Amino acid sequence: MRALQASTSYGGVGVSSVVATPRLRPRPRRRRVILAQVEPSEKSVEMMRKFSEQYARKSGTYFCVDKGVTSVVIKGLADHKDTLGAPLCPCRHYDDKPAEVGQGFWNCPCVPMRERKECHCMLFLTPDNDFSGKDQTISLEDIRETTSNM
Amino acid sequence: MLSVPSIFSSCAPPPQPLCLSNFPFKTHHPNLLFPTTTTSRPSLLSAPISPPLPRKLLCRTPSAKYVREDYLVKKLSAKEVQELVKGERNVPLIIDFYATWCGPCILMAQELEMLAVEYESSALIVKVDTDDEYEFARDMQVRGLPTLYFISPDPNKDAIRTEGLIPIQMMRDIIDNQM
Repeated sequence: MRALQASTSYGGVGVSSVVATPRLRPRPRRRRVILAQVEPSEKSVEMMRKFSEQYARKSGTYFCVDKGVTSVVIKGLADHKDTLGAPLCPCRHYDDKPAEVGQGFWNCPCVPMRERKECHCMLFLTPDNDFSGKDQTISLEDIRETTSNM
Repeated sequence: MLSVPSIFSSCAPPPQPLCLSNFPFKTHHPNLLFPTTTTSRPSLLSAPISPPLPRKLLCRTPSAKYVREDYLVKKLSAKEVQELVKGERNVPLIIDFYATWCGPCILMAQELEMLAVEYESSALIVKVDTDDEYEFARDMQVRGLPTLYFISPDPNKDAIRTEGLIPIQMMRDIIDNQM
């Protein structure tokens, strides 16, 4: 590691005892912003991805032309699944999230979606929607790629 | 017909708000979170002959914030927004309430960046993370996301509030005609 060389060349004498053992943790080369919030677990993301594909097929709806939107919402659902135990709609603000989970109105698929196929998260879009694409599938790779810079 | 600017594709017009690769390790402002890092000292990596300086960090610490300084639409705290609203202004103020994992909020953010470029100093656009500013979002009765508040510089005019993704033209109309 370059940093190690730098520290050993400093003074050159008697430093070896200091730097003999410490090895700098190899810095990951990923260029990621450290989020204030923790990323949802892979397992939850996979679960919500499968759920989204299945529900889109079942309801005859399609994902957004911009897969980034779909990916972010899937991750939002996964995040709520991890923290609250249920995939609460990520596109709303709640006074009391656990109470909302208990109540169930906004648990995905939410009541507006179940009753009227209205998804304001733009996750499930009816074919007549301007933003609707042609896909009812999205891969984990797509999700990773489109949210890698978040 | 509303076009969907895909901010996630490489064809999106610069600046790409969420694409880190365009802004590797440049900084225009000192990073106040980590004062030990300075940009004025010669880098040890490029000047092997110069006297080595004790340094802990050899690269710029990535910002802990999701929004970088390069964005036009700044993320503000509740207190800063309240001061803006109370203070003297002669331009409309637009507040975007969003959440990290809300898909339409990201499309809205892109539209607002474009609006910020168009209006420059004729409108002030800011955003508030509802996960950070929970009480403020609750007090402002934010429910669906994204929610936009258009606040006129004229204190006698009512604020206008929209919920959900709205076309950029609607935003222009509100700013031009209602403010």
